[in-house]
Amino acid sequence: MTPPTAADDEDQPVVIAPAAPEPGRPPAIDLAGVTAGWRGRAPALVDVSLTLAAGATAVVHGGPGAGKTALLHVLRAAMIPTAGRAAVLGSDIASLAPAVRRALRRRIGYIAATPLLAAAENTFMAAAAPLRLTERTLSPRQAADVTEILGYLGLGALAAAPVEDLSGSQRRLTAIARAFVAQPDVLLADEPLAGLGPDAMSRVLRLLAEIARQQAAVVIATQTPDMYAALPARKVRLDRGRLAP
Amino acid sequence: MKRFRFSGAGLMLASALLAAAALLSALAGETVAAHAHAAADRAASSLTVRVLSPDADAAVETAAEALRATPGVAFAAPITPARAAQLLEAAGGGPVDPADLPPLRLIEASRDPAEADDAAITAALAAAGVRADLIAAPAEPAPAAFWGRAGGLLGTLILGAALALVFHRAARADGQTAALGADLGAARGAILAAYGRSGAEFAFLTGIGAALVVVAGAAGVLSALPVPVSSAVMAARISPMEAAIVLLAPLYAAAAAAWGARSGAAAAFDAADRLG
Repeated sequence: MTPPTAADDEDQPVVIAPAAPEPGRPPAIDLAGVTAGWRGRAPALVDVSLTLAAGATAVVHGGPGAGKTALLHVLRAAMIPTAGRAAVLGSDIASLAPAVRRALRRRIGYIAATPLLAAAENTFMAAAAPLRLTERTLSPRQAADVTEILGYLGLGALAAAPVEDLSGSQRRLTAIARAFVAQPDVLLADEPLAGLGPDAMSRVLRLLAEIARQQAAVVIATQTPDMYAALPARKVRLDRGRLAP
Repeated sequence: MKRFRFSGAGLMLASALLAAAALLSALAGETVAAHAHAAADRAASSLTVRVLSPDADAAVETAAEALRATPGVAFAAPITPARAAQLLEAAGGGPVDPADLPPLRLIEASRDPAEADDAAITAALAAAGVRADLIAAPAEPAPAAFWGRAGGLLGTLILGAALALVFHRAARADGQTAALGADLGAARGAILAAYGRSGAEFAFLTGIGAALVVVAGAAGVLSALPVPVSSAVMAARISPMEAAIVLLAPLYAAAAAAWGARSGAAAAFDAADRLG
């Protein structure tokens, strides 16, 4: 995706207009009575129902253990509901064969609370990882996109640096860049602003708004929903695995 | 994402040691089997004739001459007391004085089992007017050769399994790439192939190193013997089977490592792919 222009960043404070919904389009996310959790443990989510249209943003908040991360795992088809139905991009994830689930996952960007990066790679290659899943080499256009988004997030000078040399916030920004370069149809972010400076925060918020404007459904999990007040987002609160009123 | 590299001095050392041990096990099994076959061949070709005719001295000499004239018999000679003492001492009986031995009516002979069978030899002796028994050495080559090869193969398999286990653990410990692949929706087969390929390459190279060390070590030992063995003699003594074992050792190590690396990567991938 193309990041917002530098001129956009001069507007402070960040106030972002909502994406225009496309009428008649089925919801990108449709959870109905979902109960799910880690193997051998009590359910982390209980009877959760949530619908989110393409281009919409939801900020899911709650305290530790509320089920926010479990919700993201369900939405990225890594955790299969034990009850209820979870449809992502029109597919019921419980009915998909493993290979199809993985193919679906390639359309979903995911920013983990603790990003996983291949230590042996440099920043550019780590950010380009989703594009390298299917392509032996990046096209010039893809390489330019990766370079552009790294530059936007302030990592341009670190493109050739080994991932293991990056700081915690730089690793998070690399993971954020990685989630955006594949232009996902659903973007899931677990505390994406944690540990970032003010400038990086505003840039990430603009990226989140931009991808929603491009009709991706965005779900942000956080304990501090106020940090996302600038986004035109629906607030959803989880409490001990259940949706709270 | 399609690239993964094993590294580390510890893994390299473990891989090389296990590859070398597997190679030595296979070579030891083959050596035992080769010796068993050689001993069996010697036993099959050796024959002792006990002369029963009453006029002992003349009959023994006549029998020996008749045997030497029999096709397929390469050697035949009466067993003198000195020769008998030598054989008894070689069998572990301690020093034997030939003068203490009684007169023997025995002939030792060697034959080609393909050309001279017992019936032909008995017929030749009868034609010479000699009555005699043929005493063949018990030859049971199959069990020794079988167990030699089986032991070597079992050792090689166990060491191959140990090598696979080392790479399985290494892949699990370095499973970040596999887990990341699962997170990003990579094809499971592609991730496993990346780990397997890297494991195979790593173990193949260390296997070559191990084979070179084993061969150089063996050559060093043989050349350091009190009567050194020349390199030409060493080369001539290497059997085709032994050469094949040395050449195949790196490939065997590569296959075992690839299998272990793939299974370790599969565990890491599956753990990240399906959380609940």
